[in-house]
Amino acid sequence: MNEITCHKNNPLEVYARRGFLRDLLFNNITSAKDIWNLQKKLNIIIQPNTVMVVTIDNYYSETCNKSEIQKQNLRLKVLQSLEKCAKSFNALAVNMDENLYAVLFRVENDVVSQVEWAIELGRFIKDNVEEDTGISVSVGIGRRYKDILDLHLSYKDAVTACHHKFFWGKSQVIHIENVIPFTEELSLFSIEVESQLSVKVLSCDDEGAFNIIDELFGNAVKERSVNPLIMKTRLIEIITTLIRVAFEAGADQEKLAALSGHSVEEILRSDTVSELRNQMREVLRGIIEEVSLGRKRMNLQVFEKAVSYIQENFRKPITLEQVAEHVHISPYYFSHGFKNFTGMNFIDYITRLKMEEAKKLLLTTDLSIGQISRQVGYNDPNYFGRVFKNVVGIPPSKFRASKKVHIDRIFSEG
Amino acid sequence: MEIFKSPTGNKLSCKGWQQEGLLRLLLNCLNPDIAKDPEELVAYGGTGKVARDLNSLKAIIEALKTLENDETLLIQSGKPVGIFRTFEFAPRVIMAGALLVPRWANWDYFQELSEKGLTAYGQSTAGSWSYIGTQGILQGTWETFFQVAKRHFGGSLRGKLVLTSGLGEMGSAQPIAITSNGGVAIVVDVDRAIVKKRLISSMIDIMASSLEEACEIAKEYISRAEPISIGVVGNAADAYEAVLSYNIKPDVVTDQTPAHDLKSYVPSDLSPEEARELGKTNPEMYEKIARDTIKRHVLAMIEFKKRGSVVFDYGNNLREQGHRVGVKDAFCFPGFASEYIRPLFCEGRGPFRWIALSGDPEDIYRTDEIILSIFKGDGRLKEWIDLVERRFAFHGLPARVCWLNYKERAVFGNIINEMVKLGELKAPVAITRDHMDAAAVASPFRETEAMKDGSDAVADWPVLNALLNCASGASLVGLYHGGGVGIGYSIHSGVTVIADGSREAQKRLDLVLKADPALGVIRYADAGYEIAKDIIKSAVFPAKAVE
Repeated sequence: MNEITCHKNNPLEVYARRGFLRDLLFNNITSAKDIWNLQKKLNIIIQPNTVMVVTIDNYYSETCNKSEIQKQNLRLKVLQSLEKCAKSFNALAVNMDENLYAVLFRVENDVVSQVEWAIELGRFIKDNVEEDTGISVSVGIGRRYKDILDLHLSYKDAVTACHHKFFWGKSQVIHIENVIPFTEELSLFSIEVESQLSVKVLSCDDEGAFNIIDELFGNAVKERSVNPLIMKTRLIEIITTLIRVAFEAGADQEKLAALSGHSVEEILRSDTVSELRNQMREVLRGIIEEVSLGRKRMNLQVFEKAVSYIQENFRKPITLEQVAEHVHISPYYFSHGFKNFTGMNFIDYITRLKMEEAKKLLLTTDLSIGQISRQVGYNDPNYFGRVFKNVVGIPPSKFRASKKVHIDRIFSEG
Repeated sequence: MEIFKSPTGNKLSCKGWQQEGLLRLLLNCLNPDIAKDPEELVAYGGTGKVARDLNSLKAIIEALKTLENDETLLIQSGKPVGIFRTFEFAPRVIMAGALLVPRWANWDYFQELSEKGLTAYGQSTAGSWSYIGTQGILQGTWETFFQVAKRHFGGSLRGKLVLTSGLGEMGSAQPIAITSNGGVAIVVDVDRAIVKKRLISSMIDIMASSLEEACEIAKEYISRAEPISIGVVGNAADAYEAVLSYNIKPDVVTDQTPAHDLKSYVPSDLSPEEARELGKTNPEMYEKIARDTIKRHVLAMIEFKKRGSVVFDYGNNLREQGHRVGVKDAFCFPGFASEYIRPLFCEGRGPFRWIALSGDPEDIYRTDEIILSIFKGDGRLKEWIDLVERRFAFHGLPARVCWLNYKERAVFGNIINEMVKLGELKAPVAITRDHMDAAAVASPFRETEAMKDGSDAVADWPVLNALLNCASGASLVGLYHGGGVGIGYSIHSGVTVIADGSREAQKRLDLVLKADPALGVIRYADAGYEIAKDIIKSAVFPAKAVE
């Protein structure tokens, strides 16, 4: 093989060379002769016919708390390591995106096992970069295309192969010939799954939701066929539905919106299926927590409103159903929640209110017991008397007398 | 598997550049990036072999390496049979391939002999070691559509619709050939995977989801007079009938389905997979329904012709197949060779090609510059070179194909030799051609169909052509049978001269590159074609025609 002669100290040539390689891989150069001329001008002697791509594993989760300079240093470290490594194989390395590098190399047509040969090279490059930088990377390798005008197809192959690391895991070397093409089939992520998760969200059952997610991802890993991007898109769709469900159940809209934005970003950046599953669990945990908090908040408001309604209307013969209807929740849920909120059941609470009012009237007015009984909602004074005695401990008349003596004494002494 | 690759650079492994050049051409035909099946020694075209078997190949290589500068190696159907002391100016290699006595010249008998190891099918350029990959196919197709445009549409297909079919090995050149001549192409192929493959490799511009959509897109581009090639999945016969029913009149209609081989032609209503299955389980039924489809296919093309489209057969024997199933006027539309290639043959213009033995593309780009500067008035040549430089990267030994006439070939050959001599090129250059040339081929269903004097089947011309090239000092001369259209249907000859910069090479080039096309002009003059008759009377014509 010829050695690549590149004037390393000439930055212009280095940048021009990288630009040329990117244009080649993005299929921006349409003429074979132009490619030849540019190769000559840039001192590129190798005629590449195959491309591998390299990505840093978990790049986004590893760098989300790092400054841009730190990220840049990390990327540069990997690029320099790749360039050094590629040079020893007469290959060419170039950065294609924030976390995507391409290595262009030549597989001679007299190599008998071309796929194995390319995988061996990929493994060599991966091991070297990992050892050199301490960073875990994965490699995707494209098919060999004899025509340099088709090199962009090898690059696309390599990117597709690299997408399979989603199922294969970190630190992998994956050749396009060794993967089963992804399908767009999404039967695993059905409407039923979405409904089941909605139920779990509404019942704030995080363990139940996690079980569904674990089972779902377990099956996806077994099949290894779902296109990760399609899978992520569907999960985002499911999250959107769950967020709507959570909102309708009273969760805080702003917090849900923030959760939604953040989770979409994290899901799209998930590098592997396990990372995505953890992310999904996190999102579900967040949604359920918001539903739970919202529910508590909503209870507070609802029961405050109910109490205030009861305080205004307890003199009338109001029922639990009437109050529940007033605050728009079911009588069953109201009965349960009301006891949690006030510490007593509805009847006890109303009775207590009535008795408090009665005590006030007994002490501050000259109204007869019968009149007071009617004023606090009892038509039968005898019944009122029995209830009063039950709650206060003495009949109404005794209560008035004893308190009156006590009050008079206070006034006369004063 | 042993892999054979041509040496490159300027270091000799033989006793002279004549032998070295031929050795490199032989091995180049087996380069895995060029050959169809190098393990079986097949370069292209079904079973077109460069040597009879592995032992023969090794013996040829060895013989070429030790061949003296005054010796000639004889090859009989891909097997070396003897080395003879001749003289320096004689060919280094002479070959005859697949020739049978006419009474026995059919596929079945040939196959029998082939299985006994007594002969081998060399196609055309496989047997004579001058195959260079798909550039030659594109050039032939481009030239045909250029001639269609010139003849019927004032030199361009701009704003014209070409309806064709078949995106296989040969047919895949059609879309580029049509769009580079300015036209809009709808190309139908029954195999979705093939259409998709051509889309990915940019051989077609768009893959339409239906024939209706293809017609809509075509209409839009025609109205803007912009070129585009549209691939669409479908059966050619069904699609052609459908286009007729839409009342669309394409300007040109042709077809490159494998109609010559009923076992490969996919009948209507069958997918390629179903067709393969039926072919295995019930071949009789398969052929019957294939014939029914071919009949409809030919009838649709006849109807297009009646409605005013330019219709031609693209050398796949479609008309003959149609005729066999009862389409009486199947031959009412012409074949491409007699209609569009013949005028070129009349002026000795043919598929000239040269191959850089250095292996360096730079040598070809340099010769491109030179040919454009010598023949700068030739717009057609410039268009071709621009197209091919854009669309073709090199694998194997870099090569270039150009259709040059009887005057141009010798001029350019001598210039190449001069460039080698002056060191402007890094190594010698092999100058050769396809067998589909004026005097080089007798093929009544293609190149010599419907000759003016009825001499379609007269095969003296390619034999004379081969003998003359020997006498003129070519480096390699071969005479073959059955290329293109199969055993029993053609006789053709190949020739190569190595331009190594020597005075001897200059003499060889001057004689061969004049004699070879000049005989072609004489052949067409003899058949009564006026252009050829005028040329042989010209003062610059390099031979004397005997009336």
